Parts: sequence; structure tokens; C-alpha cells
Amino acid sequence: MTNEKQIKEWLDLGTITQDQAQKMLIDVNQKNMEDRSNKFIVAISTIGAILLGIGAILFVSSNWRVLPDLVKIEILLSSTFGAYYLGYRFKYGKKNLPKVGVSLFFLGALLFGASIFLIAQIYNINANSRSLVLIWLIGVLPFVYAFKSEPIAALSSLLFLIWIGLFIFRNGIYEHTFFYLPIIYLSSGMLLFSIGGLHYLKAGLNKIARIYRIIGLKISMLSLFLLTFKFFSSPFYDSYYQGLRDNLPSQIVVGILIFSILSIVALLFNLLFNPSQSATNSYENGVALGMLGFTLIFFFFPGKSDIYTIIYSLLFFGLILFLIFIGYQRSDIKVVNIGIFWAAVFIFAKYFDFFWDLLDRSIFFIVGGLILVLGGIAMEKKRRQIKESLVKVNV
Amino acid sequence: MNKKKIFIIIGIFWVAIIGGFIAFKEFTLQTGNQVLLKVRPVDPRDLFRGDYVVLRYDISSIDTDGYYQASDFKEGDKVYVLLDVDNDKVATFANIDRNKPDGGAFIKGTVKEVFGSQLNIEYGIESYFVPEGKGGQIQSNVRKIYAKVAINNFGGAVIKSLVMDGKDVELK
Repeated sequence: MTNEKQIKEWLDLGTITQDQAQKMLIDVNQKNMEDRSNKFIVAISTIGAILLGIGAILFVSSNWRVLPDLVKIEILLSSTFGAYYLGYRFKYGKKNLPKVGVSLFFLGALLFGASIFLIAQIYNINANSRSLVLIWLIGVLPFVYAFKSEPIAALSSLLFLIWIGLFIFRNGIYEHTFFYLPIIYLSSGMLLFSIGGLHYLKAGLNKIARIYRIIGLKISMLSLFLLTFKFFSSPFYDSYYQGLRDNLPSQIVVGILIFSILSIVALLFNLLFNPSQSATNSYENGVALGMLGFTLIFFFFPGKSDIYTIIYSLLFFGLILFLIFIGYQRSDIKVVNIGIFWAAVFIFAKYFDFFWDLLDRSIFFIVGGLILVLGGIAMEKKRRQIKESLVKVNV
Repeated sequence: MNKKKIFIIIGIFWVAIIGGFIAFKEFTLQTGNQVLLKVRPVDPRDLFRGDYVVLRYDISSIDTDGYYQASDFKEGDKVYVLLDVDNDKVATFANIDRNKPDGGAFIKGTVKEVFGSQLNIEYGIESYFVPEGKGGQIQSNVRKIYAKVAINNFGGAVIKSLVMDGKDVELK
């Protein structure tokens, strides 16, 4: 996109005249103002939709008995279908408020979930039922593809991850199943990431693909970060935990296997058939496959030493550098930001992990503070440099 | 397909999901046999639906000794629990079977855990939702409370209400 700095450069080089520069500046400023205004409208109306949706869920949650059940259902269903209808009118009917229309669709999707929970509450369906989240997900998924709704794509990713948690841990999270939380969410995150990649095969689904991939990436990074700690990656030092591992519920083993196999198939498909066939596509899918393969080795052959903790720490650090590299290659500041965010968290966490017992407390905090301040300055500078170079690449 | 048709199809899809959900539960409530089950409650909270009382029944934990070998069952198995129903409609355990009985009162459940000869069974009627902060009223009267449950011809069950001293418990 053209900016004021470039217009000035072109003017200095004599590529454009003073008049042309003036007109271009006015156009650029108007475009910038319009973009800002659009973003503001989207932000405000999405926040409004989220607040209304949360309000509706809290309304259900309070189980207010003053209103009869039938009246509560009527209120919620008319709000759900009202939001849905108005969203359609604004975006596709009159087309006068398309941004608000998108937010109303999102509100409709949230209220649909609240309606499901209200009915489930009235009929006393068992608490924490995974089926309810699945029904909500099935109900909103057509939106993602029919109306290419990005907020609903994000909502469906979230519901997918909640459903997986409720499904795998349906008998509760106990100490011997808690260790597997990061592995399950790593394979689920990879599955979301790889499914997102498949969306690139169909024209027009690029934005949906990106939402799935970014959310998949974020949940995978969080899971990998947890695996850099001994608690999650070396719990079997102790024969007590080894004994618990032998009685692992079958749904955890089957769940991890199914998610991993599906992810591997989807990643291979992306590797071979992604329309871009770029080097970054090969790197991304290759690294994801490697990470998944290594995690399967860890799951089936857990070590009794802390070797996996060391390998996961190295892998995680390597992945951070890889994300920054890929973000730069793809001119994608969001991916760079994810890399830098995790670099900061990783350094901070590992500093505590390694030095808490070794240093005197005052020195610990002074050194820690210095690392944070200097590290913050260095990271901010680096991030700005990358961002500026991405702007140049985009031009 | 144009946007208007998609809009209508998704609307119908939503009505079908919500309507089907209600119809499925109403079928049991309207056509099911009504029985009373003795309960033993505690009270936690659901993320989306607020306070509820966890209901454990006398038939939630069954000793299979004399009926089946406990090792015949594993977690996730579907089972049918036959019930003896007295004149006051109070139902108690009579027998357990893997196959759907041809007649009599029975309820369908899923094996959650196996401990020796004991089976822990879930029937889908283990949560009773209450207004915020009202779970204590049920807790304090736990010994007198029964769940009034409707059971359809397939063994599916829905809680109608909680009953104490012959009357439905009103929580406001």
C-alpha cells in the first residue's frame, strides 16, 4: 500500500508532480481514515456481540425461576433468530450495514449456544456434557462456509478445542491424565493447523484457513511450552507415576492416535497439494510433521531421565526462531509477533526455572529485572525492524 | 446457491436442531413411565448453565455379584437396569442385563467405572439445575428427597422434578 513517505520519495525523484503528490496524499489520508473507521466499527460491534452473548449465557446460568421456562425459551429463541435475521438484512438484504451484519451473525451464533444450554438446563441434561458443545459446533459450522464468517470460524475452533477436552477427560482430570493435557492439545492444535491448510485448496476460503491455522499454531505453541517443563515431559522418574501410566484410560491413547494420524494425513496433503507449493509451505508442514512425530515417540516411549525436557526446550526455542523466519518470509507480522511473544515468555519462565534456587533473592530479582528491561528494549527494536522490513517487502 | 436460500436453509437447520432437541426430551417426559428414585446429592457448578445438584442414586452403584461377573463389563458398556416399582412408584434395583428387556420397568445406563464386583453406572439424569445459590436447600434435606423420573420405552430417562414429602420441591 502507498504511504506518505513513498509519495514524498517519488516527488523528490521527480516521478510525480506536486499536483499529483497532493492528490495522492489526499486519497491516501481518506483511505487510511476509512480503514480506521471500519476497523473501529468492527471492533465495537464485535465487542457488543460478545457482551450480549456472555449476558445471555449468564442469564441462562442464573436459572432465574421467576420467568416460566417457556417464556425464557421464547425470549432466547426470538433473540437468536432476530439477530440472525437482522444480520442477514444488514449484510445481504439492504447491504447498508455490512460490518454490523457480520457482528449480528456472530451474536446469533453465540445466542444459538445459549439456547442449547437453556434447553439442556430445563431438561436437566448432565452437566459438562460434551454433546452440547458438539451440537453448538455443528449448528454454527455451516456459517463459516456459507457466509465466510471469520469470528464464527474462531468460535468454532474454540468449541472444537473445548469439545476435545470434555471428550478426552470425560471422567475428570486426575493426576495421571493431567500429564497428557499438552500432548492432547498439541495433536489437536496440529489438527486444526493442518485442517486450516486444507482450506487453501478451495478458492475463497483463505481467510478461514488463516483463522484455523493461527489458532492451531497458538494452541500448539502453548502445549509445546508446557512440554518444556519437567512436570509434563519427565514425569516418569517415579515408579508411582510409571504404575499410573500403565492404567491409562483408553480414550487418551485412542484420542492422541486419531488426532495425530488425521493431522499427519492432512499435513502430507498440504505438503503435496497446496496450490502455492512454496518453500515456506514445505518448511511449515515438514516442521509440523517432525514435531508431531517426535511427540508420538515421547508418548509411546517416555524416558526415565529428563532428556525429553531438554529436547523439548531446544525444539521450542528452534520453533520460535522458525516462526520469526517464516513470518518474515511470508511478510506476516502476526506470525512474527507469536514468535516474539513466546520468546519473551520462554526466557522469563526458564530464568525462574533455572536460577530461583541458585541465586540470592536480591540478585535474582535485580538480574531478572535487568534481563526484562534490556530484553524488552531489544525485542521491541527487533520487532520494529522486522515490521518495517515487512512493509518494504509488501511495497 | 444464492445467499437468501443459504440463509433460509441454515435457519431451518437451527430450528431442526433446537426442535429435535426439545422433541427428543418431551417424548420421554410425555410418554415415559414415571418412577421415583432415591437420591444422594452434592452441589458444584457448570460453566454454561450455572449451579446444579449432582444426583447419585441407589442404582448408580450396583453389585453384580449373583447376576453377572463384573469382569464381563467394561467402561463405556451400555446396560439395562431392571427396576422393581412399588405402589408409591418408588423404583429399586431388580436385575441388570446387557440386552434390552422385553417388558417391565427398566432404565438404560452406561458403565462409568468397574471396581471389583461393583459397577458405577450413569443414566444421564445425574444433574439437577437449580437457581444460583439454592443448592443448599436440597443438600440440607437430602435424606427425604426423591427424583421423579420419566423413562421411555427405550430406557431413556429425563428428570421431571425433585420430590420431598410427596410434593415437588419449589426453588425460587
